[in-house]
Order: sequence, then C-alpha cells, then structure tokens
Amino acid sequence: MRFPVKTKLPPLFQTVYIIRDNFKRQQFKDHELLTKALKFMARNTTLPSKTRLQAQLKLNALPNYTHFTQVKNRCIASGSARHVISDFRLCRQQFRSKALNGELPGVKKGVW
Amino acid sequence: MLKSGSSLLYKPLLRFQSTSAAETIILGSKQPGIITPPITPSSSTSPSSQANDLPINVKALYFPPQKIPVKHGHLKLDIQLRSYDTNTLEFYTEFIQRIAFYLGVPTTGPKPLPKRHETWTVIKSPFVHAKSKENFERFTYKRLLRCWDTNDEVIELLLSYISKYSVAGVGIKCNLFKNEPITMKSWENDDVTKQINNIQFDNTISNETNEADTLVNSKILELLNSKDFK
Repeated sequence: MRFPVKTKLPPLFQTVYIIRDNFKRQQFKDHELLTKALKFMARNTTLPSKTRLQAQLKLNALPNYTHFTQVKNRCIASGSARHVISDFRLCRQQFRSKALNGELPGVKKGVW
Repeated sequence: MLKSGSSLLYKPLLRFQSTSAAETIILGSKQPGIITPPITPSSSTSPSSQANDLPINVKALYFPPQKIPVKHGHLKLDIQLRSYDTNTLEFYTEFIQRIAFYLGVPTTGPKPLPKRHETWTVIKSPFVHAKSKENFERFTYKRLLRCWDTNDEVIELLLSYISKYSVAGVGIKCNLFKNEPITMKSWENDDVTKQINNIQFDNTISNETNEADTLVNSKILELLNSKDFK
C-alpha cells in the first residue's frame, strides 16, 4: 500500500480498506483548518475578487483525500463497509455473532 | 417503624418512592426529627437465635434501607444511575441509600426514570436471503436518587465513597447544586443596570471568540499575507 503522504497505521484489525479510510480521516483532520479558511475567503464578498478567485482555485486544487465526503464508516472487526451499525462500529454479521456470544453488554435477542 | 418480631422479609413493592421533598416533609412531621434504629434490640422472642447475635447494622441489611426525612427541602445532589441490568442497579442504589443514612444525608427515591429501549434488526445470513432477519434489543434502566439539606463536604465525602466502591456495569451521573451569596462590588454606589449591561456585553464577546474561530481567523490572516495572495 502506497500513500502520497506519510501516515500512521490504525490500531486493532487492519485491512487495506481500513488503512485507506484511516489515511483519509487523518488527512481531513490535517487540512480542516486550511479548507475552512479558504472557503471563508472564497465566499467573503468584502474581499477583492482576485483574492476570492485565488482562494477558490486553491480549494479546488486540494486532493480528494482531504474531503470528508471520501470517508466511509467501516466495520472494525472485518473491514466491511456495508450495514455498519454505528453504535458498535460493527457490520451486521459481526454484530450478530458477537451479540449471540454475549460479548456486547446488555444486547439480547429481541422479543416483541 | 419496623420490628424484628414481624418478619425479616424484604418487601420489594415498597422500594420505589417519589423524589419530591414535600411528601417526606409530611412524613417527617409524624416522627419529628428522631431517627430510630431499624430494629429494637430488646426483642427476646425472635424466630431464630442467629438473627439476635448479629450486630444491629448487619441486621438492618435484611430490611429496606432507612431514610432520614427531609427538613428544609434544599436540593443538594441528583444521582442518576444507569445500567443494562436491574439486579446490580438495585443493589447499588440500596448501597448508596444505606451510606447516605449512616452519613446523615436525607435522601428521597429511588425514582425509576423511563428506560431506554434500543432495537436492531439484522439479516441472519452472511450472504443474500434478506427476508430472514433477527432482532436484538437493549434496555437501559435508570434510577434517580436525590440528596437534600447537607453540607458540601459531606456530599463530597458521599460521592467519593460511592465512586470508590462502585459496581461494574453501573454508570453514575451527578448534578451538584451549590448555594452562593449574591455579592456585587459597591452595590449602593453604582447603577445596577449598568453593571448588568456590562456583563451581557462581556458574554457576547466570549461567545463570538471561541477557540476554533480564532484558529481559522489566524489561518486566514496568514494566507492573506502569504506570497500567493499578493
């Protein structure tokens, strides 16, 4: 796995997709201040139009991995991106097996 | 009043009581101020000889926790307990009530607050067969205990003791209430409305300049002064 910037590896279970997602989260965190400042400058009508245009160009030039829209929640036990239950950060299959084993405190088979 | 001759049975139906101070004040008026021990030691004709040999504070464990009546109705502390399991929760609330009694803290409750019900429905199989699903649920039970008419030091002692002997699987949330005297600099000389206006003005400034905004502002200034924007 190669990344354009040096990055820290996430803890616990790792797959390629989890590492990639973690990289995007780190990059978003690093670029958050810059993005906010540039957005403010691009939208502020009191600034000269040249500065606003330049700010907008800079904003557009930022790589995709700095956008929060690229981040997707993933299962921390299997790395799956589908049907992730955000209360436990687990996908449905891992959630079911863990709940049936009694590893999730308080979670029982529902009867209603 | 409880008597050892009657029965050593714990009555769980009586355990929930209201947390309002008014009712307990009425209760207190019937037995004004005097806290009697839970069991009279003079009872010689008890059902078992073993029960008589026990010290009085151990005997008291067979009875629901004693309460000191609320006198003044000054709310000092709200303790909210949460758990997925009612057994440990009730054990712990009882423990807190007993400690409060021996520290001399008037308490009301425990009042059962509405439980939180969470449900999840997941597909049973790892692949396809989306029609067969499985349900899971979780209940979070809550209890509210209230402490009244106590010094701040005693409340702190109570809280530290509770947290020292806390039970696994029970969460505690506390609201502390403190009374403070109203003091204003040179109350008679200055115009009060002027002071209030000044306070409001200060508040608006502090709200506007939070930490994140100052960071963004400094970044904007840095960018505007950089080479690219000149």
